[in-house]
Amino acid sequence: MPLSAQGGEVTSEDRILSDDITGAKILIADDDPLCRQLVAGVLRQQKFTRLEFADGGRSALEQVRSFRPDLILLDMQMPDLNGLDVCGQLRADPDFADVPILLQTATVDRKKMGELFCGGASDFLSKPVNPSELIARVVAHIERWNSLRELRFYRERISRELEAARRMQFELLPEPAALQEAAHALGLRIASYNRPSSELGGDLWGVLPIDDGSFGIFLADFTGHGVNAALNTFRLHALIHEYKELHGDPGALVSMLNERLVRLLRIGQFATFLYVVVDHQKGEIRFASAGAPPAILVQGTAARARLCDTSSLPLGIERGVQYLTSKRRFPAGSLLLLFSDGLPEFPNAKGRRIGDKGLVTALNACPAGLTPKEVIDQLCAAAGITATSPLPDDTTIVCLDRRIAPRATPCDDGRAVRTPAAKQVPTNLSNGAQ
Amino acid sequence: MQIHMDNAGGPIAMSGEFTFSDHVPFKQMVTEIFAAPGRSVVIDLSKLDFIDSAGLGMLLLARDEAKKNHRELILRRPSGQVKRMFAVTKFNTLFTVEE
Repeated sequence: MPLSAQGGEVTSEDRILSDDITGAKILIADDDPLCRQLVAGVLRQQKFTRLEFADGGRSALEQVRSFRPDLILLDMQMPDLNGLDVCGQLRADPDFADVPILLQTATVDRKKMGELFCGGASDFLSKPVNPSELIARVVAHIERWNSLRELRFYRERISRELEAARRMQFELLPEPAALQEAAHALGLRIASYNRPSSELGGDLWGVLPIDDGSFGIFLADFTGHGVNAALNTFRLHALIHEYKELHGDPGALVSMLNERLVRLLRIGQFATFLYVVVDHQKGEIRFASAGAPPAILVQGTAARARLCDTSSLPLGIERGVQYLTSKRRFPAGSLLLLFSDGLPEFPNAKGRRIGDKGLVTALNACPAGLTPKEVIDQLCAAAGITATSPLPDDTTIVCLDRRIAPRATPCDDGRAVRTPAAKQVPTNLSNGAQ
Repeated sequence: MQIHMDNAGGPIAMSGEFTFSDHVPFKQMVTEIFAAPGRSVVIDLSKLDFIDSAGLGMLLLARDEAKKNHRELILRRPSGQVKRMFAVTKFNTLFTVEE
């Protein structure tokens, strides 16, 4: 049975409009009072109530600024300022750049119609006014305007919230000035680089004070990035600080974090984690890894860089894993580099990735005497990361060395100090780009 | 990443780069392979050039799905960066990996 056989013809007048639509503020600008009344009558019949009027082009411009309408009905022919000029002036104002403007015109000349759209009109209305056409066009434009505005509000709210979350996450990271001071007091220099691939990231690093002779440094990287990974970094941060008594024992801390995260993370989520205790008093480092990319270690100013074996299961996958502590010498002149996989896996302009071994080569090629910040800059350059490159993955790099020039004597390996101490002290502990 | 499947129950092959952006086709593939009857599922990784941590996470989801369905999941011949990733993360202890 054809649908048209049922019921009467549905016209736009029969449609019941929602309050979102009829509550819209509409400005009617026409120099002819009769025309204003006619248009207002049609709109009022459809329960539009928030109507304002302007009797010319100039008064339309004033009214727009005070009334701030959701839709403007402009007559094309007004003696003081025609509809197209009003339209042009409004479009030039960012506040009204996309408010719906419907121009009323008696013209049927297609070329002139084209000019209306070029002049910024959202649509046109034929004159004399046709009630069904008027309502149909007004409703369509208000619906579009409402959804545009909702989307805009939503986007603004989300971006405000992400910004607040980003700041909170940033606050989890070591505070650069305090870090510089603490490192310098221990005869160390430290610099870091941390950039998420979107507003929020899944990387986290931090420094844990242990005692006068040693401190801990950790770097974590959760699977994925964005909000989900970022929330997990907050969880991990809380857990790490819950087990203060394990901060001196890398294997025990990592094993404990794994037990906790296995219960918290959903299947398919995990974190790679590297925890290093830097014992500057004994001149050694002790570390435990959970599937983290290898750390790079240079044992003294004359030594070559090499990878530390960090292979092990990431955190949060299997219960009962016992993570072991490894030990390496860390004499004066040593350098330690920790990084998340965002660095070795960054695809450069040619789509190539530097990889862990490429980083070792790049580090060995660094001129002697660089500060940790300069080392990080060199490695980023070698990987193809620039200040403006979009990052496909969150990227964290921490570089720490024991290369502060001794106060009086040359370095213990007999080489002369290559960088003037005066240049090093104030700048070399600066935190890298954030 | 591309997934090559034949309907004769032969091995499934993955090629290209397996990253976060592949999670929809990969999950769909996992649903399909465990819906079909059989004992073991073989995924050939010899043509897979790159895997990131999101890719590894998806392999864990497939492993979980296999366990739930009492099926065996075999990963065949990882090479290059994929093999290195498996070594660093000891993923070869979580899966049956055939060289």
